[in-house]
Amino acid sequence: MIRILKTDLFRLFRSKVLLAFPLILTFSLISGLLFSARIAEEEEKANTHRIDTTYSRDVTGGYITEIRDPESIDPEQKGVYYNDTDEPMQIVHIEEDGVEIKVTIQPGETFVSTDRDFNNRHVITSLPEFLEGLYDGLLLFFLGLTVVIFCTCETRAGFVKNAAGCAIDRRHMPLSKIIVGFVVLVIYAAEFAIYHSLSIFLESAITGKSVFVRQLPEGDAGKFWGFIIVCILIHMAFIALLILLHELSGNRAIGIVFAAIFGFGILEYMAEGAVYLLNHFFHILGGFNIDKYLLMKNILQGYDNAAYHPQITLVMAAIYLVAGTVLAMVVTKKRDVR
Amino acid sequence: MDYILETENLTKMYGKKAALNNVSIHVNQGDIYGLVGRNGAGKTTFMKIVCGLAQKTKGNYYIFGRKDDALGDVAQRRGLLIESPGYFKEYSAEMNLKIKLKLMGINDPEEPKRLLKLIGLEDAGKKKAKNFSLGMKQRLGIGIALAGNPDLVVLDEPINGLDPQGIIEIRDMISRLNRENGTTFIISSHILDELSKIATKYGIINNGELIEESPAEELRNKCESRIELVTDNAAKAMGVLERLGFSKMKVLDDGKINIYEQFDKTGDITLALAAEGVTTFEIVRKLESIENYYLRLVGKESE
Repeated sequence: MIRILKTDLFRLFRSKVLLAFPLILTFSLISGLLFSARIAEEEEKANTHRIDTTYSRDVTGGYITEIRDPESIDPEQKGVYYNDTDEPMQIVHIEEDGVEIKVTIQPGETFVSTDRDFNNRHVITSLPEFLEGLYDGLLLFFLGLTVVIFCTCETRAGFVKNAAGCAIDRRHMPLSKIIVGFVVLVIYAAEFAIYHSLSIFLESAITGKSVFVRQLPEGDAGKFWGFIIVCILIHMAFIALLILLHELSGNRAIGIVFAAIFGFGILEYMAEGAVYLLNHFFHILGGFNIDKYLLMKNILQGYDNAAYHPQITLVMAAIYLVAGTVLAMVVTKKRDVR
Repeated sequence: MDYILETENLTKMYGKKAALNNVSIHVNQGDIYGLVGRNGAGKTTFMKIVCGLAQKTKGNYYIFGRKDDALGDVAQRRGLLIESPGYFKEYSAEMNLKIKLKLMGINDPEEPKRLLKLIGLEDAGKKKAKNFSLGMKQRLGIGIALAGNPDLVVLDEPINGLDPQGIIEIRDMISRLNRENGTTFIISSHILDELSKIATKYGIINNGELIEESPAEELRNKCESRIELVTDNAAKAMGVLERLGFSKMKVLDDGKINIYEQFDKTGDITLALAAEGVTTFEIVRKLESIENYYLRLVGKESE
């Protein structure tokens, strides 16, 4: 097993397929910077004509609230939150010193934030943004693409016969590929974080804004890292399923299509649509809501979102990962090498 | 006897069709085993099974005395080139060998160079394998099979695409490795004359069945020898030969006489014919090639 893994890693680090993701990130970085430079210039022009609005702030029990007549609120004015619901509303607010706090606005109350000023003076980032690649789908697609190309390359070259011929246990081969997939995931996540760092520092250099890294709200660290583990599990489950598909079909095109439809959420949209149709026309599933059982859709909005169901997502991802891995190993053992 | 490879009624079914049917072969340590058969006879299927690339349907095989389902690290003592050379086109020959050596757990930096020299690709440099000639690709495939000094090497049509010089080099290399390292080879080839120059044992497969397994010497003895005789009077010559005690002979359409016994009596025949006034134009002793023997055998099977 160790020899197979060492060989796969040796090959991985000499493979050009690893360059695809950083190349895409580089192009995104360049285009993003050009865009932000233009926006910064427009903002500067706008700021010179802007009449400063004086925000009033009252502190009540540590939270800031202000009772204002809803009619007096300019809907275009950012940073003004009016709670017109019957329930208390919670928003995340950045203080002048950059500390992020959660503010509860009672029904009928309005909160006027100083966020906008702060945002105008800083390029703001946060830990979730550095790791955003793990839950935004793009990394997932490139991860799938890399794994599919890496696996099919061995089959197409016929080298798989050499590997299988001297393997003590052929089941180690897909297992090794899954570990390679994890290594690729770590590399891509790191590249994404580097790309994000570069983009904010370069944006700061171009616009003259200072960089500010937001801390996680107090008490959120555990929740956030739990979320990252769930994201990693989802990616690993995806790799296992792709490798299973490769062992079954050996077809590169099928693998790439699957990587795309899952990475870009098409598969989940299809599942959602199918459940909706079954519910709507045939009333089969009795109003069953598939949303919380969808993996990427669950994590797409981040860790602090009502759409994220940690326990369900964790269990689902673990089931997919274990089932995909075990089945891939069984299929590899039973099937003839192509 | 301890065999390096032994199969017992090895069978492989594809649906209802038997690609391999109760094949039992025996390969000794140090053999160069020639596996002979026409396309689709089952040679490659057999090789794939014993190399762990395909599942058997029935039967067993033993490598170095270990049963197929418990080979363990013995699996690493076999090298293979089956169907086509398995290499990465985008890498050089050296890189391909390095990858295979990694798989075998060998990290000696000199080993790829030694193998390159062995297969005659030491001058390939950084040239990508995709730009190799057919012969170079074949050599690389053999090099990959030999990486890690396996004790058993299975080569499926190893001289495909090689020029005459290349064929000689590969043949010499196989002979040398067999002689010096005691490496056992199982080789399939359509070019039986080439195979007959190195093979020490043959297995002939037809329609998935092993129809004959013989040491090379025994097989050569089975090949029909004959004396070909051309005279000015075939009928009179036949009479002379009968009087000399010959019975296994026949006259061909062109008047040539083939004699299938007493091959050391060409001198007596010439003298007896001359004494009877029959002129001998040609008398020569011929040995049937293994290729002809194979065709004759397979022909009989087909009938």
